[in-house]
Amino acid sequence: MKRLFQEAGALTWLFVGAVACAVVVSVSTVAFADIFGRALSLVVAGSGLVALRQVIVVGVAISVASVACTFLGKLLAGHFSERLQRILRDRAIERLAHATAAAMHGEHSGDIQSRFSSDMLFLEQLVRTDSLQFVSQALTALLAAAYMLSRNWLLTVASIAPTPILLLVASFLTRPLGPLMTAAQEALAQASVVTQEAVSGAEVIRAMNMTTTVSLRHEHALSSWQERSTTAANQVAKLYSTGMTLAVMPFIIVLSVGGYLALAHRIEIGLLFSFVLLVNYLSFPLQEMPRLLGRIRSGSAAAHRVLELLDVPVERTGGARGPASADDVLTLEDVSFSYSGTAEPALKDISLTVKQGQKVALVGTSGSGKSTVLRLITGDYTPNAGTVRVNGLSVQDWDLSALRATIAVVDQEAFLFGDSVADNVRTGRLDATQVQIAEALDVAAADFVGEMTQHEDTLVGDTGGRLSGGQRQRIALARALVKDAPLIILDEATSALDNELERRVYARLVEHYPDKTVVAVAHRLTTVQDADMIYVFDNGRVVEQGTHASLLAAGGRYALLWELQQAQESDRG
Amino acid sequence: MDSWRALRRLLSCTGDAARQYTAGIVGLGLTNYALNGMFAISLSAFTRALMSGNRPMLNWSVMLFVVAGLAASLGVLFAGRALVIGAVRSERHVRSAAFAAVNRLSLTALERLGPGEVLSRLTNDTAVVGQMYKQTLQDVANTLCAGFGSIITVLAIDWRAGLVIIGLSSLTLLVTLPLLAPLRRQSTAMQEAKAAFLGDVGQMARGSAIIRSFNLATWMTDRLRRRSRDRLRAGLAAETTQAARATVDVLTDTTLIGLMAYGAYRSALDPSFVPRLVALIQMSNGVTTFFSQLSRILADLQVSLAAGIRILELMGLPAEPDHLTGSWAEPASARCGLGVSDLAFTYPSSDNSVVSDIGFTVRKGSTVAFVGPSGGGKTTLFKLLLGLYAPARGTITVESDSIYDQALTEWRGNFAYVPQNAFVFSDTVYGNILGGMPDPGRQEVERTARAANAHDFIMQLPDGYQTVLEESGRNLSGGEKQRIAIARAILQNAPVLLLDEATSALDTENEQQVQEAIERLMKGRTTLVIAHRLSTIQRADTIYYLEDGRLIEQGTHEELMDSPDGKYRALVEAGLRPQAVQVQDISC
Repeated sequence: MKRLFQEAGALTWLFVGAVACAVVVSVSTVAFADIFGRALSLVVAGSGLVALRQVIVVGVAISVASVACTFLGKLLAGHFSERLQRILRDRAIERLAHATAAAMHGEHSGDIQSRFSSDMLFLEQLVRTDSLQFVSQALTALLAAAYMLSRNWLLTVASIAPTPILLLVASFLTRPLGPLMTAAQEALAQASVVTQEAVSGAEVIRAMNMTTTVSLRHEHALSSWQERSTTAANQVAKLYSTGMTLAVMPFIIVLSVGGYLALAHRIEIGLLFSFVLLVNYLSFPLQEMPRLLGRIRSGSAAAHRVLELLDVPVERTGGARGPASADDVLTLEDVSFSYSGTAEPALKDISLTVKQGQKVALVGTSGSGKSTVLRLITGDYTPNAGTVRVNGLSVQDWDLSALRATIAVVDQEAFLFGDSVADNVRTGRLDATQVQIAEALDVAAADFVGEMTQHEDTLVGDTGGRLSGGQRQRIALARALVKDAPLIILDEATSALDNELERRVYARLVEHYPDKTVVAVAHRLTTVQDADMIYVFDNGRVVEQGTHASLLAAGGRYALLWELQQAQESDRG
Repeated sequence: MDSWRALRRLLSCTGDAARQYTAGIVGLGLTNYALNGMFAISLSAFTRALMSGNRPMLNWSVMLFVVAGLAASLGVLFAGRALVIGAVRSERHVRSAAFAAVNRLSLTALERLGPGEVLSRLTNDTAVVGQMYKQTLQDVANTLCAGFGSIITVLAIDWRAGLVIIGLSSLTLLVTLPLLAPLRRQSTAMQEAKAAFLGDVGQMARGSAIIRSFNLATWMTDRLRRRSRDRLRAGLAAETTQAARATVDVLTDTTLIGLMAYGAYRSALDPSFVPRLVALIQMSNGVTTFFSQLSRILADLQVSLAAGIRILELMGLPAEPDHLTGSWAEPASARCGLGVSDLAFTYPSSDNSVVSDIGFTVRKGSTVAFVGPSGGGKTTLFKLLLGLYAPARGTITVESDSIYDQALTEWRGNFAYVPQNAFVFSDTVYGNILGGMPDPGRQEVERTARAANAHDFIMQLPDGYQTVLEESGRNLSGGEKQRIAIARAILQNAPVLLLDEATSALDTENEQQVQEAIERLMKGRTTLVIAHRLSTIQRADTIYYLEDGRLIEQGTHEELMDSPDGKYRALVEAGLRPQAVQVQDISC
């Protein structure tokens, strides 16, 4: 809570105002009961017209105050909550947009989204409703208790005495409910897995005459849900009943005990009815407070998760702008690196140099360290030992955004924003012209765009979901090309294309951009056989290097791999 | 569908739970009203007793309080149980019926509605309807019972005082009714703003690598700030309206003041009015709640009914027929493994044929391959063969039976289908291989798995054949899933095999295993394959080239390569070369 108010700054006054309104409403609640009782006493005593004046003057005044403060309080609390959430959202966005690769690596996008949605909702509930309810319920209960005790302590004590006992009964009944509900939820989750499959596997299910089997599985899960829910329902009914008893018990006690007291003239009838109105405010918090405190606790936990977003580690800022070009575009000197939390180093003593205009390939089994090299080049991670230089300047000394302006990356995933094709290409260079975008798409062999209903303005769907993997990769390539950076990094960038297309794409790339330096990672050896230099990675080390021809001639590991695939091909043919 | 009809149909969905559910809901409503009424009666007696100092009467009225309280608690216990259990049973009926509807939906209907939409109706909307049975309808019943009951009662106690109560209470309608439309509009706007913001947050999280490498942080934050501002505006508007709405809860006190003032006036004229005043005060609660909550409760009901309507619509969509209807002129020759003549298909909503003029025959035991650009109609053809799409024209025959002669389930029994992306269920491996067929025994299943090169990896799973696969087979590799699909196809032992070859390359070891398994599966079977590998295509007895939904070329590999301007030849020469092997997972 404290941190929330720190973040809110001057907004906190809105909350203070809301609390003040809650205080006024609490006071008027008790005052209303008092005037109501007094009026009734006068009526019973036969002074109806005196009562009439009192009721109208004071009652209306109290009502007006109460209505006004309810409106104002809700308004202030609502505006406080909305504006606070906006501040938190904007600060969290700022952090996340500049978060380090390591910080984002462990994060699931669903988790981040849920912090912005369900956790934010709990936070809203906390600042807008629950915290104020806590104040007003506690205050009303205290005021009511003070008023009642001062007027008749015996009746006060008698009326709330049995409530704690009933609360114990209720908590005894509630306890087995949790596991029962969880069990029912699990069964329902099982049913929803089957549902998911029935929809996504609809074609296969029909083709294989499996509709009955699937139905049976769904019915099975539903039966188990129904059985567990029914057991829970019995418990819930008991709770309803206890809740009812809890609600009427104080009234019955006030009326019966108070009735005999009034008969003995030890209490006025009007006061008795004031008690009837007020006893609710005493017993209700007793029932409600544990639940409210529980909500406040989970609200605070949610607020904590939202605030964690404000502490996400961000990338360093500042540094030098390196030269725009150099003979040695890229050098690695004895570079070692291990990811935090892993014992085995991902890279061991890697040294390599890439000259201006060279096309270089990194090959090797997955996990051999090729992609890690790329992550060090773009400054996503920092080596534990050794130096990575881009254009002669150590990556650690570069200004990160200047560094990345000289590099264009295409990765295997080919993430696209849920915008149009053209908008996605434009993220490569925000001021790119239509012509430049069209050119980039053309070089990337994205002919399919021309056949889409709205051409370049066709929406690609969430994360490019309406496109195939190969289509996404070609748009991602166009995005990198339009950036026109001197160094192009291709990390399995064409893995989803068939051989024909892949060759076409590479041929056009070299033809249109002969001067670019290219570093490519690929599984398929045919992809990279024309490279000027091939580095073969194994287990975090470079074990061989050379051209396709020289590596074949050397008869080492690369040659072995090549042989193997040729042999397998002829087997298959 | 209008709301009333939807409500009636949803109530009829309670099925065999109808009586239990109705008893529960009416019982709870009546209990609430009866408690109020009994309290009002005893309060009036109570006041009279106090005013006249009548002790026996006080005793009676106190006893009546206790009896009313106990009766209400018991009533709630039994009616509450009937309601909750009835609600669970009703929700079960709705879930079962909605699922059954989707499960027999024709594939075209399902694709037109969109899988995401269908799924959302099946999960979210059924949950809303469940909540409607449990809570929303109960609120409606309570408010109506207590409301109408109390209105009649206050009028019966004293019609003039009753009118005062009703008049003052109905003033809350002046606040709630005008706010109904803005509240609904603002809550929609708020949901939309929330969804737009969350969508972009998801993009930011998933695209963080792209945002870093393309220096898009500022671009992204600007975009999200705009969303955040829109969300704030929507939120502030909704909060203001809701604050105005909240005054209703305090406004009910006004009724009490008015009643008191009127009561004071009447009592001054006639002191015997006091006990009735007390009873009226007790009953006025039901009247004020009725007027202040009615609009909210009806709005809640509207939301539930909207979800209910979406489910009812789902249930009303066309089911797949048992038989496809159509006629066929010429009987195919009995020697044919499979024959297709003059086949055409058009989506129900459009005029353009997706495939047309398709005709070919496949000799029993031979293999034909389909090649061509994506979108050329290969997948549609397979769906037609399987009876997943109903042909607009033309016939398909297997041996001498036409697709129109057999029930669809029987027809589909003619085919073993291995889809491009193997689909596995979150069931045991064993259950996945069976795929709905009768269990031929562990030995047979194991033999099949061995033939599909699947036995070894299955035995390495934690519980062997009894291992339960995770959702969409996350705990298996792509090649392993394919081998399970192949095992299923082998076990099916159907006369015709439909094979949709995977485009994306697997790692080398899986690749070999899968190829071997597929070869075993194809042996001796009439096979139709959508092919991407040259090796597969070359081995086919006939190759068909499909483009724009038509068969353009056909022949053997050699024949087609001989035609100088052939599409197929162009495709092969352009680089449909033997698939390269990947380096991954080779240990040397």
